[in-house]
Amino acid sequence: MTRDEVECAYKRYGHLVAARCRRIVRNESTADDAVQETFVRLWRFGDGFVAAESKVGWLYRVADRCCFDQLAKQRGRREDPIEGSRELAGPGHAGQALEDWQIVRAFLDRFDDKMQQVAVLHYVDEMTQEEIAVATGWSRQTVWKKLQLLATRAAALRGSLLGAQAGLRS
Amino acid sequence: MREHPTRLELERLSVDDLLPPLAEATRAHVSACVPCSALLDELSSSRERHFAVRPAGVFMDAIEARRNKRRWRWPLFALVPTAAAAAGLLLFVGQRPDVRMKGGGIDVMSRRGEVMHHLGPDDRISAGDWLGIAPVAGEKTLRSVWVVDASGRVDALTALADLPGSDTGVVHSAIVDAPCEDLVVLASGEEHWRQASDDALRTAARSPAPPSGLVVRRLRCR
Repeated sequence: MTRDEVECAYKRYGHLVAARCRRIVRNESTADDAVQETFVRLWRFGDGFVAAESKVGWLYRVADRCCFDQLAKQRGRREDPIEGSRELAGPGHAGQALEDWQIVRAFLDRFDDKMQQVAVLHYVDEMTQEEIAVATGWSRQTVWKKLQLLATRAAALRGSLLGAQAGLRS
Repeated sequence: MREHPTRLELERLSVDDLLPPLAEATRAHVSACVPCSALLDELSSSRERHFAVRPAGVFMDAIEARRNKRRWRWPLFALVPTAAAAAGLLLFVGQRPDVRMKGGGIDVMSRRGEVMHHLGPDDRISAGDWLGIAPVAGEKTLRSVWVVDASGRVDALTALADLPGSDTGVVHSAIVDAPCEDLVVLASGEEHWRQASDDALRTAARSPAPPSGLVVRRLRCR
Protein backbone atom coordinates (compact mmCIF):
# COMPACT_ATOMS: atom_id res chain seq x y z
CA MET A 1 0.00 0.00 0.00
CA THR A 2 1.11 3.57 -0.48
CA ARG A 3 1.49 6.12 2.29
CA ASP A 4 -1.60 7.95 1.01
CA GLU A 5 -3.69 4.78 1.16
CA VAL A 6 -2.55 4.05 4.71
CA GLU A 7 -3.28 7.64 5.73
CA CYS A 8 -6.74 7.35 4.20
CA ALA A 9 -7.35 4.15 6.19
CA TYR A 10 -6.12 5.85 9.38
CA LYS A 11 -8.43 8.82 8.87
CA ARG A 12 -11.37 6.51 8.46
CA TYR A 13 -10.68 3.77 11.00
CA GLY A 14 -7.89 5.06 13.26
CA HIS A 15 -10.15 6.18 16.11
CA LEU A 16 -11.85 2.78 16.24
CA VAL A 17 -8.55 0.90 16.27
CA ALA A 18 -7.23 3.20 19.01
CA ALA A 19 -10.32 2.68 21.17
CA ARG A 20 -10.08 -1.07 20.75
CA CYS A 21 -6.39 -1.11 21.68
CA ARG A 22 -7.13 0.96 24.79
CA ARG A 23 -9.86 -1.48 25.78
CA ILE A 24 -7.44 -4.39 25.53
CA VAL A 25 -4.15 -3.08 26.88
CA ARG A 26 -5.46 -0.58 29.48
CA ASN A 27 -2.69 1.92 29.00
CA GLU A 28 -2.59 4.96 26.71
CA SER A 29 1.03 4.78 25.61
CA THR A 30 0.92 1.02 25.13
CA ALA A 31 -2.28 1.43 23.11
CA ASP A 32 -0.60 4.12 20.98
CA ASP A 33 2.23 1.70 20.29
CA ALA A 34 -0.22 -1.02 19.29
CA VAL A 35 -2.11 1.36 16.99
CA GLN A 36 1.10 2.42 15.27
CA GLU A 37 2.16 -1.19 14.87
CA THR A 38 -1.25 -2.06 13.42
CA PHE A 39 -0.91 0.56 10.71
CA VAL A 40 2.73 -0.36 10.03
CA ARG A 41 1.49 -3.88 9.35
CA LEU A 42 -1.29 -2.49 7.18
CA TRP A 43 1.36 -0.64 5.18
CA ARG A 44 3.45 -3.77 4.76
CA PHE A 45 0.73 -6.36 4.29
CA GLY A 46 -2.11 -4.27 2.86
CA ASP A 47 -3.21 -6.83 0.27
CA GLY A 48 -5.25 -8.70 2.87
CA PHE A 49 -6.91 -5.46 3.94
CA VAL A 50 -7.81 -4.53 0.38
CA ALA A 51 -9.36 -7.96 -0.19
CA ALA A 52 -11.15 -8.10 3.16
CA GLU A 53 -14.92 -7.87 3.16
CA SER A 54 -14.79 -6.06 6.49
CA LYS A 55 -11.97 -3.54 6.73
CA VAL A 56 -12.74 -2.99 10.42
CA GLY A 57 -12.64 -6.74 11.05
CA TRP A 58 -9.25 -7.05 9.35
CA LEU A 59 -7.79 -4.13 11.27
CA TYR A 60 -9.20 -5.41 14.56
CA ARG A 61 -7.62 -8.85 14.10
CA VAL A 62 -4.26 -7.20 13.45
CA ALA A 63 -4.75 -4.75 16.33
CA ASP A 64 -5.63 -7.62 18.69
CA ARG A 65 -2.42 -9.37 17.74
CA CYS A 66 -0.41 -6.18 18.26
CA CYS A 67 -2.05 -5.66 21.66
CA PHE A 68 -1.29 -9.23 22.74
CA ASP A 69 2.31 -8.74 21.61
CA GLN A 70 2.53 -5.57 23.69
CA LEU A 71 1.06 -7.39 26.68
CA ALA A 72 3.53 -10.22 26.24
CA LYS A 73 6.38 -7.70 26.22
CA GLN A 74 5.12 -6.28 29.47
CA ARG A 75 4.48 -9.60 31.13
CA GLY A 76 5.23 -9.32 34.81
CA ARG A 77 4.72 -5.56 34.76
CA ARG A 78 1.37 -4.23 35.95
CA GLU A 79 -0.09 -1.04 34.53
CA ASP A 80 -2.64 1.37 35.88
CA PRO A 81 -6.13 0.95 34.50
CA ILE A 82 -7.42 3.53 32.05
CA GLU A 83 -10.05 5.88 33.37
CA GLY A 84 -13.51 5.78 31.85
CA SER A 85 -14.03 2.07 31.59
CA ARG A 86 -17.68 2.64 30.73
CA GLU A 87 -16.59 2.66 27.10
CA LEU A 88 -16.17 -1.09 27.48
CA ALA A 89 -19.86 -1.67 27.52
CA GLY A 90 -21.98 -1.81 24.42
CA PRO A 91 -25.75 -1.53 24.72
CA GLY A 92 -26.11 -5.29 25.07
CA HIS A 93 -23.53 -5.81 27.79
CA ALA A 94 -24.91 -7.55 30.84
CA GLY A 95 -23.46 -6.48 34.18
CA GLN A 96 -21.91 -9.87 34.97
CA ALA A 97 -20.30 -10.12 31.54
CA LEU A 98 -18.81 -6.66 31.95
CA GLU A 99 -17.50 -7.54 35.39
CA ASP A 100 -16.02 -10.78 34.05
CA TRP A 101 -14.37 -8.92 31.18
CA GLN A 102 -12.87 -6.35 33.52
CA ILE A 103 -11.35 -9.14 35.58
CA VAL A 104 -10.22 -11.17 32.56
CA ARG A 105 -8.79 -8.01 30.97
CA ALA A 106 -6.77 -7.26 34.08
CA PHE A 107 -5.10 -10.64 33.71
CA LEU A 108 -5.26 -11.02 29.93
CA ASP A 109 -1.51 -11.37 29.61
CA ARG A 110 -1.65 -14.52 31.73
CA PHE A 111 -3.77 -16.39 29.18
CA ASP A 112 -2.44 -18.13 26.09
CA ASP A 113 -3.01 -16.76 22.58
CA LYS A 114 -6.20 -18.69 21.91
CA MET A 115 -7.74 -17.74 25.23
CA GLN A 116 -6.87 -14.10 24.59
CA GLN A 117 -8.54 -14.25 21.21
CA VAL A 118 -11.66 -15.90 22.59
CA ALA A 119 -11.78 -13.38 25.44
CA VAL A 120 -11.64 -10.41 23.07
CA LEU A 121 -14.15 -11.86 20.61
CA HIS A 122 -16.57 -12.70 23.40
CA TYR A 123 -16.23 -9.75 25.75
CA VAL A 124 -15.19 -6.94 23.42
CA ASP A 125 -16.94 -7.94 20.21
CA GLU A 126 -19.85 -9.55 22.09
CA MET A 127 -19.83 -12.48 19.71
CA THR A 128 -21.87 -15.57 20.47
CA GLN A 129 -20.25 -19.00 20.68
CA GLU A 130 -21.42 -19.76 17.13
CA GLU A 131 -19.98 -16.50 15.81
CA ILE A 132 -16.65 -17.11 17.54
CA ALA A 133 -16.56 -20.64 16.11
CA VAL A 134 -17.09 -19.22 12.60
CA ALA A 135 -14.52 -16.45 13.11
CA THR A 136 -11.82 -18.74 14.47
CA GLY A 137 -12.54 -21.99 12.65
CA TRP A 138 -12.76 -23.85 15.96
CA SER A 139 -15.63 -26.13 16.88
CA ARG A 140 -18.40 -24.72 19.00
CA GLN A 141 -17.47 -27.25 21.67
CA THR A 142 -13.91 -25.88 21.80
CA VAL A 143 -15.20 -22.34 22.05
CA TRP A 144 -17.62 -23.35 24.80
CA LYS A 145 -14.80 -25.01 26.77
CA LYS A 146 -12.60 -21.95 26.50
CA LEU A 147 -15.41 -19.64 27.59
CA GLN A 148 -16.13 -21.92 30.53
CA LEU A 149 -12.46 -21.86 31.47
CA LEU A 150 -12.41 -18.07 31.18
CA ALA A 151 -15.49 -17.77 33.40
CA THR A 152 -13.97 -20.17 35.94
CA ARG A 153 -10.72 -18.26 36.03
CA ALA A 154 -12.57 -14.94 36.26
CA ALA A 155 -14.50 -16.31 39.25
CA ALA A 156 -11.29 -17.53 40.88
CA LEU A 157 -9.59 -14.21 40.25
CA ARG A 158 -12.61 -12.36 41.61
CA GLY A 159 -12.43 -14.53 44.73
CA SER A 160 -8.72 -13.80 45.11
CA LEU A 161 -9.31 -10.07 44.72
CA LEU A 162 -12.16 -10.05 47.24
CA GLY A 163 -10.04 -12.10 49.64
CA ALA A 164 -7.17 -9.67 49.26
CA GLN A 165 -9.52 -6.69 49.86
CA ALA A 166 -10.94 -8.35 52.97
CA GLY A 167 -7.40 -9.02 54.19
CA LEU A 168 -6.53 -5.37 53.72
CA ARG A 169 -9.62 -4.20 55.68
CA SER A 170 -9.02 -6.50 58.63
CA MET B 1 -32.03 -13.10 18.54
CA ARG B 2 -30.16 -10.17 20.06
CA GLU B 3 -31.91 -7.28 21.72
CA HIS B 4 -29.29 -4.85 20.37
CA PRO B 5 -26.64 -4.89 17.67
CA THR B 6 -23.18 -5.70 19.05
CA ARG B 7 -20.74 -2.92 19.71
CA LEU B 8 -18.69 -4.25 16.79
CA GLU B 9 -21.69 -3.92 14.46
CA LEU B 10 -22.30 -0.35 15.62
CA GLU B 11 -18.63 0.50 15.15
CA ARG B 12 -18.71 -0.96 11.65
CA LEU B 13 -21.94 0.91 10.91
CA SER B 14 -20.30 4.18 11.97
CA VAL B 15 -17.69 3.83 9.20
CA ASP B 16 -19.94 2.22 6.55
CA ASP B 17 -18.25 -1.16 6.94
CA LEU B 18 -21.43 -3.26 7.18
CA LEU B 19 -22.88 -5.04 4.18
CA PRO B 20 -26.06 -3.36 2.92
CA PRO B 21 -28.73 -5.73 4.34
CA LEU B 22 -27.20 -5.73 7.83
CA ALA B 23 -26.50 -2.00 7.61
CA GLU B 24 -30.14 -1.27 6.84
CA ALA B 25 -31.39 -3.49 9.67
CA THR B 26 -28.92 -1.96 12.11
CA ARG B 27 -29.82 1.59 11.07
CA ALA B 28 -33.49 0.79 11.53
CA HIS B 29 -32.78 -0.49 15.04
CA VAL B 30 -30.60 2.48 15.97
CA SER B 31 -33.21 4.98 14.86
CA ALA B 32 -35.58 3.57 17.46
CA CYS B 33 -33.08 2.71 20.21
CA VAL B 34 -31.82 5.34 22.61
CA PRO B 35 -28.76 3.42 23.98
CA CYS B 36 -27.56 2.40 20.50
CA SER B 37 -28.10 5.89 19.16
CA ALA B 38 -26.15 7.26 22.13
CA LEU B 39 -23.30 4.86 21.43
CA LEU B 40 -23.15 5.97 17.79
CA ASP B 41 -23.03 9.60 18.96
CA GLU B 42 -20.25 8.67 21.38
CA LEU B 43 -18.30 7.02 18.55
CA SER B 44 -18.66 10.19 16.52
CA SER B 45 -17.36 12.42 19.31
CA SER B 46 -14.57 9.98 20.17
CA ARG B 47 -13.49 10.24 16.54
CA GLU B 48 -13.23 14.03 16.85
CA ARG B 49 -11.33 13.77 20.13
CA HIS B 50 -8.95 11.20 18.70
CA PHE B 51 -7.96 13.18 15.62
CA ALA B 52 -7.65 16.39 17.61
CA VAL B 53 -4.90 14.72 19.67
CA ARG B 54 -3.44 12.41 17.01
CA PRO B 55 -3.74 14.12 13.63
CA ALA B 56 -3.13 12.04 10.55
CA GLY B 57 0.04 13.86 9.44
CA VAL B 58 1.82 13.38 12.76
CA PHE B 59 0.66 9.77 13.00
CA MET B 60 1.87 8.95 9.50
CA ASP B 61 5.30 10.47 10.19
CA ALA B 62 5.52 8.35 13.34
CA ILE B 63 4.65 5.09 11.61
CA GLU B 64 6.91 5.85 8.66
CA ALA B 65 9.80 6.32 11.09
CA ARG B 66 8.82 3.11 12.85
CA ARG B 67 8.65 1.26 9.55
CA ASN B 68 12.06 2.51 8.47
CA LYS B 69 13.59 1.76 11.84
CA ARG B 70 12.26 -1.79 11.69
CA ARG B 71 13.37 -2.37 8.15
CA TRP B 72 16.98 -1.45 8.69
CA ARG B 73 17.06 -2.04 12.40
CA TRP B 74 20.05 -3.04 14.45
CA PRO B 75 18.82 -5.83 16.62
CA LEU B 76 20.98 -6.25 19.71
CA PHE B 77 21.07 -9.98 19.18
CA ALA B 78 22.69 -9.38 15.83
CA LEU B 79 25.50 -7.20 17.12
CA VAL B 80 27.96 -10.04 17.66
CA PRO B 81 27.39 -11.74 14.29
CA THR B 82 27.25 -8.31 12.69
CA ALA B 83 30.65 -7.43 14.10
CA ALA B 84 31.95 -10.81 12.94
CA ALA B 85 30.53 -10.23 9.48
CA ALA B 86 32.08 -6.75 9.38
CA ALA B 87 35.41 -8.27 10.31
CA GLY B 88 34.90 -10.83 7.55
CA LEU B 89 34.15 -8.08 5.09
CA LEU B 90 37.22 -6.20 6.24
CA LEU B 91 39.35 -9.27 5.64
CA PHE B 92 37.65 -9.89 2.34
CA VAL B 93 38.26 -6.37 1.10
CA GLY B 94 41.76 -6.43 2.55
CA GLN B 95 42.62 -9.68 0.79
CA ARG B 96 41.41 -8.53 -2.57
CA PRO B 97 43.65 -5.75 -3.80
CA ASP B 98 41.82 -5.79 -7.12
CA VAL B 99 38.62 -4.91 -5.31
CA ARG B 100 39.96 -2.72 -2.57
CA MET B 101 40.63 0.55 -4.24
CA LYS B 102 40.69 0.02 -7.95
CA GLY B 103 37.79 1.94 -9.41
CA GLY B 104 34.36 2.32 -7.85
CA GLY B 105 31.97 -0.33 -6.71
CA ILE B 106 29.87 -1.64 -3.85
CA ASP B 107 30.91 -4.86 -2.20
CA VAL B 108 28.17 -6.73 -0.42
CA MET B 109 28.48 -9.57 2.05
CA SER B 110 25.39 -11.57 2.84
CA ARG B 111 24.91 -13.47 6.07
CA ARG B 112 22.04 -15.88 6.51
CA GLY B 113 22.05 -18.03 9.62
CA GLU B 114 25.63 -19.09 10.12
CA VAL B 115 26.57 -18.81 6.47
CA MET B 116 28.28 -15.69 5.18
CA HIS B 117 29.36 -15.13 1.63
CA HIS B 118 30.28 -12.44 -0.81
CA LEU B 119 27.39 -11.55 -3.10
CA GLY B 120 28.44 -11.97 -6.71
CA PRO B 121 26.73 -10.23 -9.63
CA ASP B 122 24.31 -13.12 -10.14
CA ASP B 123 23.61 -13.85 -6.47
CA ARG B 124 20.22 -13.04 -5.02
CA ILE B 125 19.08 -11.78 -1.64
CA SER B 126 16.31 -13.12 0.59
CA ALA B 127 14.16 -11.75 3.38
CA GLY B 128 16.05 -11.88 6.66
CA ASP B 129 19.51 -11.68 5.09
CA TRP B 130 21.99 -9.47 6.88
CA LEU B 131 23.88 -7.36 4.38
CA GLY B 132 27.25 -5.79 5.00
CA ILE B 133 27.75 -3.08 2.41
CA ALA B 134 31.16 -1.58 1.64
CA PRO B 135 31.29 1.06 -1.07
CA VAL B 136 34.75 1.42 -2.54
CA ALA B 137 35.77 4.18 -4.94
CA GLY B 138 39.43 4.76 -5.56
CA GLU B 139 40.68 7.68 -3.58
CA LYS B 140 37.26 8.75 -2.37
CA THR B 141 35.49 7.56 0.73
CA LEU B 142 31.80 6.95 0.12
CA ARG B 143 30.20 7.78 3.43
CA SER B 144 26.66 8.38 2.17
CA VAL B 145 24.84 5.18 1.41
CA TRP B 146 21.17 4.66 0.68
CA VAL B 147 18.96 1.72 -0.19
CA VAL B 148 15.98 2.27 -2.48
CA ASP B 149 13.49 -0.58 -2.62
CA ALA B 150 11.22 -1.60 -5.49
CA SER B 151 8.38 0.42 -3.96
CA GLY B 152 10.49 3.56 -4.08
CA ARG B 153 11.17 3.81 -0.36
CA VAL B 154 14.51 5.39 0.46
CA ASP B 155 16.54 4.51 3.56
CA ALA B 156 19.79 6.16 4.51
CA LEU B 157 22.11 3.58 6.06
CA THR B 158 24.23 4.15 9.11
CA ALA B 159 27.90 3.25 9.04
CA LEU B 160 28.74 0.15 11.05
CA ALA B 161 32.50 0.48 11.25
CA ASP B 162 35.38 2.28 9.67
CA LEU B 163 37.75 0.02 7.86
CA PRO B 164 41.39 0.78 8.55
CA GLY B 165 43.09 3.19 6.21
CA SER B 166 41.72 6.45 4.94
CA ASP B 167 40.90 5.13 1.51
CA THR B 168 38.91 2.05 2.32
CA GLY B 169 35.57 3.58 3.18
CA VAL B 170 33.14 2.23 5.74
CA VAL B 171 30.88 -0.75 6.22
CA HIS B 172 27.15 -0.23 6.36
CA SER B 173 24.60 -2.74 7.47
CA ALA B 174 21.05 -3.62 6.57
CA ILE B 175 18.61 -6.46 7.07
CA VAL B 176 16.37 -7.42 4.18
CA ASP B 177 12.76 -7.07 5.17
CA ALA B 178 9.96 -9.57 4.52
CA PRO B 179 8.59 -9.83 1.93
CA CYS B 180 11.81 -9.35 0.02
CA GLU B 181 11.90 -6.53 -2.51
CA ASP B 182 14.58 -5.84 -5.07
CA LEU B 183 16.96 -3.20 -3.73
CA VAL B 184 19.20 -0.60 -5.29
CA VAL B 185 22.18 0.45 -3.18
CA LEU B 186 23.44 3.95 -3.90
CA ALA B 187 26.65 5.41 -2.51
CA SER B 188 28.39 8.72 -2.89
CA GLY B 189 31.17 10.75 -1.37
CA GLU B 190 30.00 14.01 -2.89
CA GLU B 191 28.38 16.73 -0.88
CA HIS B 192 25.57 17.47 -3.34
CA TRP B 193 24.46 13.83 -3.24
CA ARG B 194 24.62 13.83 0.57
CA GLN B 195 22.03 16.63 0.46
CA ALA B 196 19.93 14.96 -2.25
CA SER B 197 16.19 14.58 -1.84
CA ASP B 198 14.48 11.20 -1.75
CA ASP B 199 12.96 11.95 -5.16
CA ALA B 200 16.39 12.53 -6.66
CA LEU B 201 17.64 9.26 -5.15
CA ARG B 202 14.60 7.38 -6.45
CA THR B 203 15.20 8.78 -9.92
CA ALA B 204 18.88 7.81 -9.71
CA ALA B 205 17.92 4.30 -8.62
CA ARG B 206 15.66 3.87 -11.63
CA SER B 207 18.18 5.30 -14.07
CA PRO B 208 19.74 2.61 -16.31
CA ALA B 209 23.14 4.37 -16.10
CA PRO B 210 24.61 5.58 -12.78
CA PRO B 211 24.42 9.39 -12.52
CA SER B 212 27.68 11.23 -12.06
CA GLY B 213 29.05 11.02 -8.52
CA LEU B 214 26.97 7.97 -7.57
CA VAL B 215 27.98 4.34 -7.36
CA VAL B 216 25.09 1.93 -7.85
CA ARG B 217 24.60 -1.75 -7.05
CA ARG B 218 21.38 -3.62 -7.79
CA LEU B 219 20.36 -6.53 -5.55
CA ARG B 220 17.64 -8.85 -6.73
CA CYS B 221 15.46 -11.13 -4.62
CA ARG B 222 15.47 -14.88 -5.07
